[in-house]
Amino acid sequence: MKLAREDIIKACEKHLIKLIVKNIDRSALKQAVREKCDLAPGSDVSFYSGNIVTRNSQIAYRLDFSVQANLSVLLDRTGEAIEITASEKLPEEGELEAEQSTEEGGRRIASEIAQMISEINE
Amino acid sequence: MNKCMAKTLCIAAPIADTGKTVAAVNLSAAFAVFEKKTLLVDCCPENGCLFGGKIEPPTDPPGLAHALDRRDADLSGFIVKTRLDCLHILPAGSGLDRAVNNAPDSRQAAITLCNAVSLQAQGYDYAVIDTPTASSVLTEAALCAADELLIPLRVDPAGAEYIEEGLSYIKKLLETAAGLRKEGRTAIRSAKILLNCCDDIVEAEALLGLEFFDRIRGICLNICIPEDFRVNEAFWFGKPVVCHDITSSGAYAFLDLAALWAGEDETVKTEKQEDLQP
Repeated sequence: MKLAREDIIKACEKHLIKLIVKNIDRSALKQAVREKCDLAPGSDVSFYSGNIVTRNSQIAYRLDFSVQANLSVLLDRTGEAIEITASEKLPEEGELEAEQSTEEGGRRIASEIAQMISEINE
Repeated sequence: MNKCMAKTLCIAAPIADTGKTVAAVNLSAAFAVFEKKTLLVDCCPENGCLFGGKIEPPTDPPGLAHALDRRDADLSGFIVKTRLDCLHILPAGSGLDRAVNNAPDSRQAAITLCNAVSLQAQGYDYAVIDTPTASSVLTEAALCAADELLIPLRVDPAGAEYIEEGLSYIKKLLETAAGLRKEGRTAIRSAKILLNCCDDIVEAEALLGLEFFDRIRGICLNICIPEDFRVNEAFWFGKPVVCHDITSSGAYAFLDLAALWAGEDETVKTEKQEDLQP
């Protein structure tokens, strides 16, 4: 008995991953890269892939980021890092740039609006 | 510069389905619960405010359109009473779109409408203006008549997906407001974003991402309007949510919002809620 469409569930899972990535503390992640991987991360840490997995019978979120090397970040449902290792999956061409430019564009407009409203409220 | 005695709030956002009319109807009703005499002005040709706050709606209501058609700013005869004693509605009027399109001078049309709104708002404590998504003349008139601007922003998963596009439209609205301020045609001195369809700031942070939300945190009201089916249900019953279910989360949010402006404390708010409970 099918209760929901598979593609809908997958899309929802993808959306959940995107929201978690949005809320990752990038500076804490860079710090972890320095400490655990002995790598010096570049100007930004970019997400390119993610999945919901199980680790020790617990749900975990595997998020693949690219710095200067590729990493796999495993965190549990409380947000605690479980493991950070070199990722097996490589980013596809264009994925990183597209994500970076979209996010940057949104943040720029948000800052402009905040500035315009602050001028009204002065 | 046009100035009316009532504190006039313009609810505007050039994005469809962001909750302008629902916010205008329910915020006006919440002011009325605090016994603040409130005029809800419908600058949107769809006449949605009348639909959401009606008591016995006229079938073909005259309203703001009359000011353009007849060059008559006195619209006091068209003001509609509602089930709340302190809440009155000035409808858009049938054919407001046509009246705006037929006006020979769009700037003059905006001034005429602004003067009509300001005149009718005299004698009220608050005037709340609902604006359309797309008409520049009607939005301009509303901005000219207002002293505060409230921009609802939908922050549910669907809204968050298109947040960048939404903000780019809001930027255009703010550019219009800035232009009117430069010309001395509006007395707007405050603008805030109202987060709609999300329970609290934490949910907005989660949906938009911390880095993004931090940019707009300072210009958002701390009170969010939650996704509450009672709010929509009330609208389709032709009632503000405070008249439909005063104990719902949506009613609480609008009362909190009104209390923020009206300066009512928690005790007064609870007493009013108890009075309105069936």
